[in-house]
Amino acid sequence: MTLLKFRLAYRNLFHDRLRFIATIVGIIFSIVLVTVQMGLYVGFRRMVTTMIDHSPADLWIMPAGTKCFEDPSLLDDRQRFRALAVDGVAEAAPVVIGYAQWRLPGGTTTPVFIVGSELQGFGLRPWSLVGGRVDDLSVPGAVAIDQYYFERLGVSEIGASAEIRDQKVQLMAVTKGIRAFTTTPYVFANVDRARLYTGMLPNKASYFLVRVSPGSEVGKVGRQLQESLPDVEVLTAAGFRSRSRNFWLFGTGAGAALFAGALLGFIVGTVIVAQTLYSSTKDHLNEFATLRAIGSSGAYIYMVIIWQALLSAIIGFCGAAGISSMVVRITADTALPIVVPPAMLFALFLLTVVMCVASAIAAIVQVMRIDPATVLVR
Amino acid sequence: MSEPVIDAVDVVKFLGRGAGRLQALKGVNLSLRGGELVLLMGPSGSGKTTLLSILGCLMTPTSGMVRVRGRPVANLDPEALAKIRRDHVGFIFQSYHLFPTLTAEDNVRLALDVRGERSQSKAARDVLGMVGLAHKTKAFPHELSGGEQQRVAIARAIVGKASAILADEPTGALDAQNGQAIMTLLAEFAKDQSRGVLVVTHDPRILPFANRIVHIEDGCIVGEEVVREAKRMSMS
Repeated sequence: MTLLKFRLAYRNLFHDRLRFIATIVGIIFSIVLVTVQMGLYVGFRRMVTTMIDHSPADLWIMPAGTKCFEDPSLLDDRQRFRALAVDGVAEAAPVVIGYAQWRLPGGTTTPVFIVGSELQGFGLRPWSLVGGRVDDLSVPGAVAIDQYYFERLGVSEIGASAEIRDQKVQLMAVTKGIRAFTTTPYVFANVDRARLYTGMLPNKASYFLVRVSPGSEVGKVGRQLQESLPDVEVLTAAGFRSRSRNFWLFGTGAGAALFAGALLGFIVGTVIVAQTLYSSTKDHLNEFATLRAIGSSGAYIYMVIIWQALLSAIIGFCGAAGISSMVVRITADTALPIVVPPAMLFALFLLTVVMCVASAIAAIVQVMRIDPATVLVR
Repeated sequence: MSEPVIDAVDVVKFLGRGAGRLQALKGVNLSLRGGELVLLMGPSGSGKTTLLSILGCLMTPTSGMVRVRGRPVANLDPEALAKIRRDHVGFIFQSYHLFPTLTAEDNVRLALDVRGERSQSKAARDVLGMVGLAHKTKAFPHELSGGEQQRVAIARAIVGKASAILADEPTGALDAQNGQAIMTLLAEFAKDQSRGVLVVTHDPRILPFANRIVHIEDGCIVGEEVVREAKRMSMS
C-alpha cells in the first residue's frame, strides 16, 4: 500500500466536509444502535442465567418440562433420596423458588422472588455481599436482598424489618449487583423459611442441586440419575443455562426483537455509507477516469475507494465506541444493563469495516463503467 | 530513422449504435517515431480525438491494427490496455485533469504510483524542476496558473519515461507565451530518439515546433508534410 493512494482517499473523503460529517454521524448512530441492541442481548443473556451461573451444582434435577430457573414447579424429597442413592452423587441440595408478597413497613405490598437454599455447605447462596454474612441468614426470618432494591422494599440498612406472607423477616445481608431482569427483586433465605414464604410443603422443593463425587464423570452420573428418576429432568449446568437462554431469548421473541434492531442498524449504516461513497465517487468520476487514462489498474482505483470506506469505518467506529461506552456506564446499575465485552467490541469493529467495505460496492461498480477515453472530451 | 513507437495500420473506427452509428476513422495509417514531434491537425469532427484515443490505447479500433513498441494491442482486455498505457504512454489533456486535492508533486507522483514505483518524490521533484516548477511542488492546482497547471500535467506525462507523449490541444487553454513555453518543453522531450510526441491541435502558433504535420479530414489522413529544420527556423 502506498501512502499516495491513502492520501488521495482521505482527501477525496474530506473534500466535502459537510457530507463527510453527515456520513460519520450516520455511521455512529448506526453502530450505536447495533451496539445497544447487541449489548442488551448480551446483558439479557447473562441476567437470565445469573442464578445458574452462580450455583455450584454440577447437575440440576428439575420437574420435567422446566423452561427456565424462574419456572416454579415441585419436586418431592423422595426424589432427592433416590438421587443420593445413585453412584457418584455426593450431595443433592434442595432449592426453593417462588413469588411472594413483601409487605413494607407502611403496609403496602410488592412482589418478590424467593430463592431459598441450604446456607451451610452446598447450596445456592447469595454472592457479592456488601453487608452482613451468609452465616447471618441462619437466624430465623433472616433474608438477603440487593442494595439496588432498598427503596422499593422500604428498607435502608441491615436489621430493617418487613413481612413476607405474614412472617416477619429481617434484613441480615446485602448484596450488590444481583438484579432480576423481570424487575422482581430476589430475596435469599434459608430453604425452610423459603418454603414458608412461598407456601410450599416441607417435603417439597423446586430443584435439587447435585454435586458429583470427585473422580466421577458428570455426564455419566447425569445419565444414571435420569434412569433412576424418569419422571424428572436432569441437566448439567451448561444444559440448563442453554435451555433458560433459549426460552427467554427465542421462546419469548425478545432475542429476535433485539437481533432485528441490530440488523436494522446495520442496514441503515450500510445504506448511509454506500450513498456517501457513491456520490463521492460520482463527484470524482473525472479524476478516476484520469487515473484510468494514465494507466492505473482497476485494483488501484478500488483500493482508493476501499480506503475511503475504511477511513469512514475507523472514524465512525471511534465515535460510536465513545458514545456506546457512555451508554454502558449509564445503564450499568439498571435492571437490564447493556453489556459490551471486549470480544463484542472487536466484533463490532469488524462489522463496521464489513459494513463500510460492502458499501463501497456501488461506488466500485460505478468506477468499473468508466470509459477512460472520456477524459479527452471533457 | 527511428523505430515507430506507435503505429496504426488501416484503422477503422465506428462510434455509436443503431441510427446514430457513424464511422469516425476510415482506414487510417499513421506512425509516431522516436525523436519526432508530430502535429495532428484537422477540423472539428475530423476524427483527431478518436485517433488519439486509439493510438493511446484508450479505445480499440473496430478493425485494423495498432502496435505499441511493435506489440499489437488488438483484442486486449481493459486491464492489459491500462498496463500498456502506464508503461508506454503519457497523456496531456487540454483541461489538464489534475487532481484538485493533491499537490503538484503528488499529481506527478501518481503516474509513478500507478506503476508501483518507489522513490517517487525525488523523481517527481526532479521532473517538476525540469518544467520550471521546482518552487511550486507543494502548490495545489487551484494555486497555479493555467500554464503552470499544464506544466504539471507535462511533468506527470513524462515522469514515467513513456515512449509516447500524446497531447490533446495542450495549448488550447493557454496564452501565446505559455503555449510557446509548453511546446518548447514537448519539443525538448521529442529530441530523445527513443520517444515521440504526438500533438492534436488547431493552434497554428505551434507549427514551428513540428517535425511532421499530419492533416486529417472526415476520418481520413489527407495530407502529411515533413517540416525541415530550415523551415522550422523560419517559421519560428
